[in-house]
Amino acid sequence: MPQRRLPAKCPELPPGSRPHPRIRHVIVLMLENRSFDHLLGYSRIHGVDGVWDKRASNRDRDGNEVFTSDDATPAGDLSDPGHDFPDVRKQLYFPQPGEPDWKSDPPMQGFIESYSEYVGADKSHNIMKCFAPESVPVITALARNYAVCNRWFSSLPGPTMPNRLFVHAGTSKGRLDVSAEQFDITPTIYEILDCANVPATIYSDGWTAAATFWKLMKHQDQFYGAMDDFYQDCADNNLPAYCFLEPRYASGMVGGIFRAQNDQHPDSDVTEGEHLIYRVYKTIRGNRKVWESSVLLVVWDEHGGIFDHVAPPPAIPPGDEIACDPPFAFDRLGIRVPAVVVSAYTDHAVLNRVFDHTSVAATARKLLTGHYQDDALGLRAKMANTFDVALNRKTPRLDHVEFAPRPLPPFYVDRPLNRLQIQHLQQTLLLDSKLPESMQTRRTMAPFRDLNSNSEPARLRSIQAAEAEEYTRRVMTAVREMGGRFNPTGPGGAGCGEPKKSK
Amino acid sequence: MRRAQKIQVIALFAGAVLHAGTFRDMQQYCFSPANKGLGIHWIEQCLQTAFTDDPYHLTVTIVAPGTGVAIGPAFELIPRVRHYEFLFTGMAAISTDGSSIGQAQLTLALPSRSLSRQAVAPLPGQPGNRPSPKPRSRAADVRASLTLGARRINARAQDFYGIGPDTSLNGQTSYGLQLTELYWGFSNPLSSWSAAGVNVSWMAPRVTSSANGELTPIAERYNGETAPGLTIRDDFVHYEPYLMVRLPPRNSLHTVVRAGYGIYQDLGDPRYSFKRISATSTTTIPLWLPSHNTPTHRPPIANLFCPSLRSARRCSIGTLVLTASVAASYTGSNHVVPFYFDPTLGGENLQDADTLRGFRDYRFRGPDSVLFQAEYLHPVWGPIGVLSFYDVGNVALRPGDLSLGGMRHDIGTGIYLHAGNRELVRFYIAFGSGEGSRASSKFPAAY
Repeated sequence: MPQRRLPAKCPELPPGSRPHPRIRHVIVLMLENRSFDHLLGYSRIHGVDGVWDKRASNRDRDGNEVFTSDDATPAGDLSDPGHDFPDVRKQLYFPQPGEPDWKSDPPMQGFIESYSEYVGADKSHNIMKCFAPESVPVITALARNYAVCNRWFSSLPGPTMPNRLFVHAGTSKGRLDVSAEQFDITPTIYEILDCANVPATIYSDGWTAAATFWKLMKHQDQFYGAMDDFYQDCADNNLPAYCFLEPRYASGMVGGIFRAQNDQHPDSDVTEGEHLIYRVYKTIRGNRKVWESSVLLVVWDEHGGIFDHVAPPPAIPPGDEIACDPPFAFDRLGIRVPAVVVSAYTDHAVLNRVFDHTSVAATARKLLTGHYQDDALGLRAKMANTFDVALNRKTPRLDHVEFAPRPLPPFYVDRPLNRLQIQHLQQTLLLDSKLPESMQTRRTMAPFRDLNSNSEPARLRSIQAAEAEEYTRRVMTAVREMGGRFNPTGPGGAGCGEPKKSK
Repeated sequence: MRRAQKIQVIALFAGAVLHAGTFRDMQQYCFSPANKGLGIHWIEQCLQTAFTDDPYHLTVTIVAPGTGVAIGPAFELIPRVRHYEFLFTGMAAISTDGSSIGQAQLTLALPSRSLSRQAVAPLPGQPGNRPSPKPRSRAADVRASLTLGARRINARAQDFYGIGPDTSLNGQTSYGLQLTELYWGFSNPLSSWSAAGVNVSWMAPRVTSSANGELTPIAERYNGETAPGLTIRDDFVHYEPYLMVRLPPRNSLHTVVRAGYGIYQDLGDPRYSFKRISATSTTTIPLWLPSHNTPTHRPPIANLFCPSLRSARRCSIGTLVLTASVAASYTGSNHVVPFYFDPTLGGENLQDADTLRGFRDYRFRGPDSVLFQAEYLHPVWGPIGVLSFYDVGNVALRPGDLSLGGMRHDIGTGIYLHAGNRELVRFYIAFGSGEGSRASSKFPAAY
């Protein structure tokens, strides 16, 4: 009987490649848009490069020096600060005019200036606010008890989508922007692991940033699951080897039960995200077999326009394509984000190696197949540092680290769609259009009837968040109902060409 | 009958014309000449539009057992008032025999604070920390909810075979039932594995003459003694606190137990007031086989009979569902339970739950009942699966008479269609009851 294989070019496993003897599951929880200093800068953990012990500042438009402070509130401080490529470029290199010299280290002085363009001078100081450890007890407790990464940077100085592409595929194929149609990318870590007969799944709560990886979507029973499935699989000790967890990107009613946004994207309440981290940790810790065979990475996709004082270092380009307009050769990492490695084999440590999101695929491949240094996911993933250095124990920890999140906010606060949610919506509209016409959800939901993935963002902004969430869930359900019959195609994403062809 | 048919036609189209968007969609996907080239898919598109359009659409449901399939308009709205979100649903449907149902319900998800306490532990290693009790935390998604609703059922022909375990087919009669109900419920999660709540309702049940002229009317063969409640027209208030437990809380193999204590108070004649303890236990057992390859590394035939789970270390060979339910009614001296509040066994009951599927609807009726069911479901291909089941149960006139002796039983098999984890429709045939075979279809989730 012929075997059904994914059309990925499978890398050869060198003789002698062996997976890690104890780690059978690599679990990655990636949240949204918070910088390292913002969440852990005041954690007062010995060895952590934070801001509680130094005077980190930016100047506002009046020339006043504004220092970081530890008075951030769970919600209400920020309104989706700019974090597209031009915004981040300014945050890094302001006050240098014109196109920066990406080879020079950035002064990190443009955060207030960039945010002023969105909210005016009055509120721009809020971009410097950081959380006191009491305000984010879950991530602080995990950082204090397990391994916290001092130098984990987003993969490029840009927004969510291309950064998440680096997690999945080691490259964004030259893209810096966020348009939906780019996200047909292959191969991904899922295909590469499947080559080695290693199961991998993306667990999402509604929308997934990998919804338009068409080659994966054709095998969605294998590669996609709901977050509730993750909790179930964890309890059943039935986890895939590689689990990528996505938060809930928008609030909505699911089956009559209100479910709040928990991705921590500004200005959603960070407490909701803390509860998600807590639940994931507790679920893993709650099954001893899973606990003793897994490593959990909690990481953020990018900084979301929020201040961090550490200049991102130069980076190895992925080696496939570069961006032309605006020009960028992917030769410098994005801004630093929090990352904590949790495992039964991890004593508290502060890791000072440089990591970026390609370290996720590299580490997963190293731990689960024993090999990762090849060209399957590009040059950067090949050369990436792996965070298995956090596995610094031979025997499993069986102590129970006791902590708890703060109480949830009492009320749901209605907000307009943020830019990421608009991108979700564009991607969902594209996904919907790939379904047979009779199954397309937009026909049956009045606000979406006249929309498509090319609709103007201003037009999409008129959609209510709960409606968008409901629409997304219905589309994802329709796609799941299609199962193996879902056979979408689409243009692959690309920048402007090979690295040498820059304008 | 002519009047009922008129109402039915009006109801069929009411859902479409209520809303301009729905009307436009119906025009486009059901009546546009451009659809001619679509062949059979034209019907699929039209039905899809009709039954899922938002916020107004058509619905298919069952008013009560034996009344046929009901169809009508429905809506689902999520209005928002300031910071609160509501789920507002409603439907009106009329069935082929003229029976009807109308229902409107408002659900409010309350803020996260509920009756269960939350505590925040101090951070480890912080100066000044005192030893704290083990912190308690609830899942972020678990919130209390409040439900308000109203329902009106008019079931024009319902079977009645008498009360107790020893009734016969010869005693078959028919009656009509009109039930008006106003209800509210409060559900509060206590933990990730338990919830408590209370349901309160005002009910006005009315027994009417049957629309089925082929069967003997109930009043010709039974009276207030043999069919308690037949002659009264009282209103009732029903209170029921309940507790639900799921153990283990997150495993696929799990048991859900619901236990309730219901008080039915007759607002007219106290002789018809009673109390009822009811409990239902449902155990779901996923059945697995070991598998060492991801689906793409397995022969397609293996994926057909043994659909892979994500882990690839197991594949599913189906699910076994074991259900046990018991109801025991307690009355004061000289008090009786109105027959329309008795649990029934046979076919489906008024709450649309399967009972003894090899017997006719409402075949056995009594104030006390016990039922055990085993059902095996196995997905076969795409949305199609097969099922088989075994039911055993009986009713009694007194709680003390409930026993495992003299139980009625049946077996059956069928197919079902599912989308994701949701079962859409099932067709089955049951036999072994000693009273012939019974074929039936069911829509577990109303569209």
